Amino acid sequence: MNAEAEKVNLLSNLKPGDKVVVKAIDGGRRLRQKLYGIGIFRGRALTVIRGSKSHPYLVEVGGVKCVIGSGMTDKIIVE
Amino acid sequence: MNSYKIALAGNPNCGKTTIFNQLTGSRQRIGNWPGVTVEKKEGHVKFQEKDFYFVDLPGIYSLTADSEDEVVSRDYLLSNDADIILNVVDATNLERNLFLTTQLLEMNLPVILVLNMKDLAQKRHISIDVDHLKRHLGVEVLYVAGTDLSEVKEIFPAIVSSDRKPNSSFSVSYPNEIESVITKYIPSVVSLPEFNDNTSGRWSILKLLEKDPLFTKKAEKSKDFPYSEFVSDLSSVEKILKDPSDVVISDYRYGFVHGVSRDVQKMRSAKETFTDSIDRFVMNKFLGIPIFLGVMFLVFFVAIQIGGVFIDFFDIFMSTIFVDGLGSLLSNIGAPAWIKVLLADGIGSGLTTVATFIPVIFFMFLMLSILEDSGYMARAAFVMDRFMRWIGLPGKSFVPMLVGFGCTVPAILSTRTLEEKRDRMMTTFMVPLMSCGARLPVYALFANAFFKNHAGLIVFSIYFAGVMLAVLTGLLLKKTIFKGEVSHFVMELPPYHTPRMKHILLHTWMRLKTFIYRAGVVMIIAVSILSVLNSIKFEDKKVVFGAEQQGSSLLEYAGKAVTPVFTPMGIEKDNWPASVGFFTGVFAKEAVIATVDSLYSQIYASNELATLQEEEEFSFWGGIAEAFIAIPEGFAGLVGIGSDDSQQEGSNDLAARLQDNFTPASAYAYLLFILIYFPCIAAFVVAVKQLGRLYGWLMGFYLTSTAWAVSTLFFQIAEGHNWIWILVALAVLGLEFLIFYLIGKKSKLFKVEEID
Repeated sequence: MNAEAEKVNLLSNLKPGDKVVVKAIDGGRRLRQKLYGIGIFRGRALTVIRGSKSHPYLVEVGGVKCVIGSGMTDKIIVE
Repeated sequence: MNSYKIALAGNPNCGKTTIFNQLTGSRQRIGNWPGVTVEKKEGHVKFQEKDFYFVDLPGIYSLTADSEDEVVSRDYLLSNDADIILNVVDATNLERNLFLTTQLLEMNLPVILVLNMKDLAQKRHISIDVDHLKRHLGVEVLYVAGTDLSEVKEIFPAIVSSDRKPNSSFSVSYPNEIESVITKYIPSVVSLPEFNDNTSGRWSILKLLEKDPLFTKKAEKSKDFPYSEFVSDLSSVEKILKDPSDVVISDYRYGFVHGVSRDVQKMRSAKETFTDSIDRFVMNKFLGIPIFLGVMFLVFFVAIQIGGVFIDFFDIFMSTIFVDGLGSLLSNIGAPAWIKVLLADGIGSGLTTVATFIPVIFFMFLMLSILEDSGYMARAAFVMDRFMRWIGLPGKSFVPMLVGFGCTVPAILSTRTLEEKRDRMMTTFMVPLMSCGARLPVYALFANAFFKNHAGLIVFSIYFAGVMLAVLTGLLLKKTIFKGEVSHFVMELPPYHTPRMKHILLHTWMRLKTFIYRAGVVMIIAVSILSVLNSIKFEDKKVVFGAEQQGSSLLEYAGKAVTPVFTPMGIEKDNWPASVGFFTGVFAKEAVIATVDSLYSQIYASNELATLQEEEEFSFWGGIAEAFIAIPEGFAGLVGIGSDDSQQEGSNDLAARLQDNFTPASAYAYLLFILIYFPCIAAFVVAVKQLGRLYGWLMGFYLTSTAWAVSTLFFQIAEGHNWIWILVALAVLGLEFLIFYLIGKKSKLFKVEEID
């Protein structure tokens, strides 16, 4: 996952209104499972409502709105 | 069977608490799960001659992420203590909620599914085929609106008619590689007691495959489990599947859930909801922070101003009954003086002090419950995240800090909403520096006596000093004891809804009750001791009892003995009542005024040979009436009608005496000390619960030594100009830093498991 670090598109690069699909979670078991619980995982469609670099992101996923803390947004790879 | 034990499990915001409240009414008990600060709610109900014991498990999304809440829930579920698990599921968010359901069913637990929020789902045109869902999951499904009592009551017969048998045929099928590992290891775990589950091993092996820390540790320790072989099998499975096994397992669970919800649920595409339109403003880049500050101002205004209106009522009412009333009753029946001192002056006034806390705390809890229930709290964390992150905490920590301006006790309690232990502990360390409502009267008194024209500014500067110190403390902790990254957070934003008054009042009352009980017990003990000490007097080498006796009390000797410690911050030896004030302030910060006032009056009375104040004839009903009059007076004061007579009366003497004993610089130093030093006992007790005894005392020590150093620095720079004391104060601060640094180096306690 880290090999193509420059090419990957991270959630933290997105702008409000962007609609993307989650490609991978670049993190350990605990982070992954936290995101699974709330419904963010590979293959899920996600819409950015609010957010910018080094701020938390407000996203809509599966009909639920959630806040993803900055830092975590660098670990969600999207396409 | 006539008795059932039922556990409620479900996602946060699924309406679980509403259903719990509907089922149990106010017959609840809030406690803690053993060893952790996760709240445990229990309730008992009799329904048709049968006993129902409910346990509300913490709201969780899954059983795999190892948060404190999840561990508590999982351990409880594994213990098989409950006869039935009510799995509450939000019908408007079926797929995500069923993810947990799948795991409960995989554990082979006796589940009844309570599909909640029927009303909301219908409003959003979501229709669910309940029978179909029943067939898919193989368990009983009830479809209810949690707010509708008659529908919720259907749960009771469902519990009775269920035979507590789980659906043992339920399982999610995983890829062949994983299934073959499960099949291979089932014989190895079946006979091992440490893997005792309801699924003859399947669940335990799944947990091992998910690399669950608890199960992995068990497997490593077990002599009979072929752990190294398992690890190599696991890694070859991961190689074939090209993914960590926990990802594969979770993907398959979601795959199953997705299939089920697609089958049973029909929904139209969502339009912009009411929630979306509010969030447009509340979470706006520019409006977010002003709106947040406005909301917080409102919380404060209501708690401190409106709550403050009732303080006099409780003060006069309670002291009429328990201090003066009880006192004169005891005198009338001829009880010995020491009984009167202990019961009326000690415990009676202790109860009165606790009671004066009630209104502010009630309104504070009420406002916070409203904010929580309406869904705004989660938004506030979003808005404040950036600033808090700089100090080393997630945005959510801002909420307890704010509550701290009201009262430190609920503030520390509300750190429970934080997910990581590190964040909870760090926030608890910082909260006492948020100046609480009880300290305000002390500032006001001194500011009026010494800085008449700038009193407001002075009080504000003290609050500001507290906030600055909290920020510095945060930065210090981040660099020393509580190292590690700011925890990553994902947080669901629940949809807004109109606060449910019944639910909020119940919630507020449960919390208030806990507080009154806890504070009451501590206060009774503390105040009793103090008033006894003040009543034991030495006169002509004879010990006599009673505060009204001549001679020096034990308290005076003690006060004089400790005063030299405070001399560097400007407290002269004759000003020993000020030191006693610090002591009583530990029991309740506002007690400082009462202490200083009463001790000065005793000293001045004997020095000036002033005529003793004619003691007013005690009138019980007069006192009660006065208490009720205090409420409208309070409201009048709130809107600015009427004068502040009641506040000023008698305090002019006190102001003059303060001016005799303090200089402006030493007065300010005194206030700084009051701001920073040891939290009051009620707060300390909850802090110790949160931090553990070791770190609780460390916090007390840190706050007290910082208070001494800061006050001394201020006084010596402003007035004393004694460079030795300045150096000593700086050395104390340096020593604190060193101690924290060393603890940070040594301690492995707080190597917070990193989430990356």
